[in-house]
Amino acid sequence: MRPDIKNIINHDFPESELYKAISDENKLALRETLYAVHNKEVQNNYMISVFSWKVQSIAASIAIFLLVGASFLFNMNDPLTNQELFGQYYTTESSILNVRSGNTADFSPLNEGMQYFEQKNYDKALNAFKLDVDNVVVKLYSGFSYMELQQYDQAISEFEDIIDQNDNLFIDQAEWNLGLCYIITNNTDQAKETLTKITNSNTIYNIRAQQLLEDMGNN
Amino acid sequence: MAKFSTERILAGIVENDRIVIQYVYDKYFLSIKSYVLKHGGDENDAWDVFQDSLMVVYEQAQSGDLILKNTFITYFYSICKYKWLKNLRDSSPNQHEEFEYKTETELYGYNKYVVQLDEALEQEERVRLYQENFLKLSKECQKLFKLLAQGLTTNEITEELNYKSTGFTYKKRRLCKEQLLKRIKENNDNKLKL
Repeated sequence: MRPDIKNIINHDFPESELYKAISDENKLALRETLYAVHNKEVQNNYMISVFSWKVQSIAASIAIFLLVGASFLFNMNDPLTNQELFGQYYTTESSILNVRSGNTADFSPLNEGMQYFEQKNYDKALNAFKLDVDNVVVKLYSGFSYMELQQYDQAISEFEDIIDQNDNLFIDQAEWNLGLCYIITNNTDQAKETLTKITNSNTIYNIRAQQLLEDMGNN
Repeated sequence: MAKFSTERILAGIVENDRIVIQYVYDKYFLSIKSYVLKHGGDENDAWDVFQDSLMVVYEQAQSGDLILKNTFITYFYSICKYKWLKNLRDSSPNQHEEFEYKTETELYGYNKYVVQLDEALEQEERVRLYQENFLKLSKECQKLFKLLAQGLTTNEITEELNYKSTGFTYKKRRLCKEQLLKRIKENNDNKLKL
């Protein structure tokens, strides 16, 4: 623990610092909003766990109902093709930039590539990215660029690199888009394996991966 | 879920726009929590990282210093990661040499902010300790502290709060401060127990 934090906990801090912190009304208000948002989520999660047995029994009833109903529909609805699934679940990644133009001091392959990406000029984006291939953000947006150009094998390679590095903030996005690439290239088993891994993790793609697996069904 | 631009997010944070704050929380907290949990932290740590990082963004955006070259998510994630790796380094400097935390932000092109980040994050941690425990005090204690922060004398505070005497005001001030210190200590002890 840092000495300054230890001092606060041990009551050794200047009152002026406390007064300055509590006088910042805007920041206090922002913190209250943050707490309200966080506590609501914590409360929701608690309620779900407290009533989980009820949820489970209701879910079981619904599942049985749906299974019975689905058996009548099975021969009436063909499962979605991989192409259709991809079309439903893929969204073009946005790159909303705030870039200073004409300032050569700000040049970097990443910045230049992102500008082209923003303009949907994916070939030029990839050319720029090639100058900084070890950058994990470059790999991510290279993967997105390849997806936009429908060069899915190259996209797969970029996303796999990110996942192999195993210690960065973009693994979630890489795994999700890798799963989509496997689907569009008809690598169904690999897609299911990747998506199942996402459903077992605690990421923002968890629910979408579950839905996609359900839609893949017997594909 | 609606999508917000980087500019909209930054403006929403500065303006304390509940919809934008909810959006940022819903979109990013789970991933940050996942990262912290994967690297030796717990849920409380993740929440502290999220708060402190967001407050740093708030300060930078409010001062007009912040011009983002990439998406908000990229910048915010890099601060959160930097914050957590810094926590690990501060808690046991010899055991975490393998985390090249400065290289990460250099790779993302945020060199300019790295130097400022250390100080900003340390300050935010202190401010959080004061503010989050202050908000847990009774409304009466909060009001008393705010009047003290405004520089009012004991007589003025006694009159403002309608207390019976300045002696009572002094006593109330001492009790409120004891409560605050107790909460700060208990909060820290609870976190250590996890």
